[in-house]
Amino acid sequence: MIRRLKNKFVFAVLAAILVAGCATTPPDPGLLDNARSAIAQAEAAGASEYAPLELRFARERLDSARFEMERNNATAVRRLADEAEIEAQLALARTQAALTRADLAQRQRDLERLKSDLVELFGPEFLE
Amino acid sequence: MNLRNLTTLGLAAMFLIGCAAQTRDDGALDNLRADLDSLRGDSELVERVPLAVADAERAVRQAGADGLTEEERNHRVRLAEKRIEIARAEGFRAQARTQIEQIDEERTRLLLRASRMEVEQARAEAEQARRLSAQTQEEIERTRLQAMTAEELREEAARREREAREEADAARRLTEAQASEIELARREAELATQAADSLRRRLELMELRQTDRGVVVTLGDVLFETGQTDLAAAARSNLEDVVELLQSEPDKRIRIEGHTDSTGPASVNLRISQRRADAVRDELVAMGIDSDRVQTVGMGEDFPIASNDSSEGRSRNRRVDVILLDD
Repeated sequence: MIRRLKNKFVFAVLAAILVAGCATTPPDPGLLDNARSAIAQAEAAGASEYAPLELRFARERLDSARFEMERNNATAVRRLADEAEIEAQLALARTQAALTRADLAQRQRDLERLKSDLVELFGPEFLE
Repeated sequence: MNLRNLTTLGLAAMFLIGCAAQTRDDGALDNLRADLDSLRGDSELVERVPLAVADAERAVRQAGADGLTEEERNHRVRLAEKRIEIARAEGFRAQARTQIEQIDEERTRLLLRASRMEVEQARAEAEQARRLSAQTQEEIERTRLQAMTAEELREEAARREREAREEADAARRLTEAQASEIELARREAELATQAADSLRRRLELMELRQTDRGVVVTLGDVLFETGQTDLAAAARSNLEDVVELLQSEPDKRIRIEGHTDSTGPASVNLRISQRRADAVRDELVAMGIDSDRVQTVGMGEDFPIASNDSSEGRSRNRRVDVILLDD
């Protein structure tokens, strides 16, 4: 009788553990949200032109995260999603830097053209 | 015993593996920290993006935390590497922005200077245009004066014609006309010789006397250049005394009479006397006398104040009388 009760108790504890395990196993799909929006932001900024490698890497990490999601591997999902997100942030930062540098180069050219126009208009002593 | 040995061996192996893993992690961490140091070394970059650098520093610290699994550590090292790269990219971007600001400042400076110079050029051009317009104005004025002179000449010719018609005898009229031209030329020559000693007589320029008509100021013929009906430049200063006198009696009217000597035809003398009277009037008006007060009369040769038989007498007869009329 007592032995039977003990068996039942063990079974209940095992079942509880199993239920708890089942409850935590499907990872939150929201884990991928930050990575997705970071990639979208980088794309919108023009990363496919200015940081294509970083963008591709970020997408690959996101794909891997989805893959792990199906396998209920929450830890892997979290890591891959974080890596996808930061890679997308890097793609964005490099894209913005490239755009700003391009802007700078354009302004430098404009300034040089302005200078030569002014010299033509007022003579070389204008720039002194 | 055998089992215990096996256990000891296993523990030792695990220990070794642990050590090896520890060493590999340290290598990755060392690289990471070196990377962070090289980022920090670029102080110009770091001070532009302090937040990104702080993020990178925190990520490196988290990667170096104790008690991480190998996977978690590798993950954190990867994140920290990216953080450092992001800080670098943001730093480059901030540098480019600063350069853009400098370029914009220089551009503004140049454009300001250009607009200043444009204004200066426009002012110079306006000045040039103004000068040109003044020149044009002068030319127009000159042309107008020339036209006026031509007009006056035509009037003169018309008047001569009328005068000539009034003469009864056409032949005598013609002769007289010729004579008058000859006479003018002769008198000009005479005036030329008289001009030589005009300086002496300039001192006697002004004679003032009270008559029943009023105060008469007699201006000698030295007022005029030889053969001219325009006033001599020197005459203007001499007229200043006359102007002062005339202005002392502002309510009195002024009569200006031109006189000549008896040399030459009377009609020519009449004209000369009128013109000289006009010239004196014009000058007095220019010097401030109200033109409404003034009337001019050419008296010709009919009112001599000396004998026409001597050149001295004739000189005295060639005169302009300015009379301040008593009402």
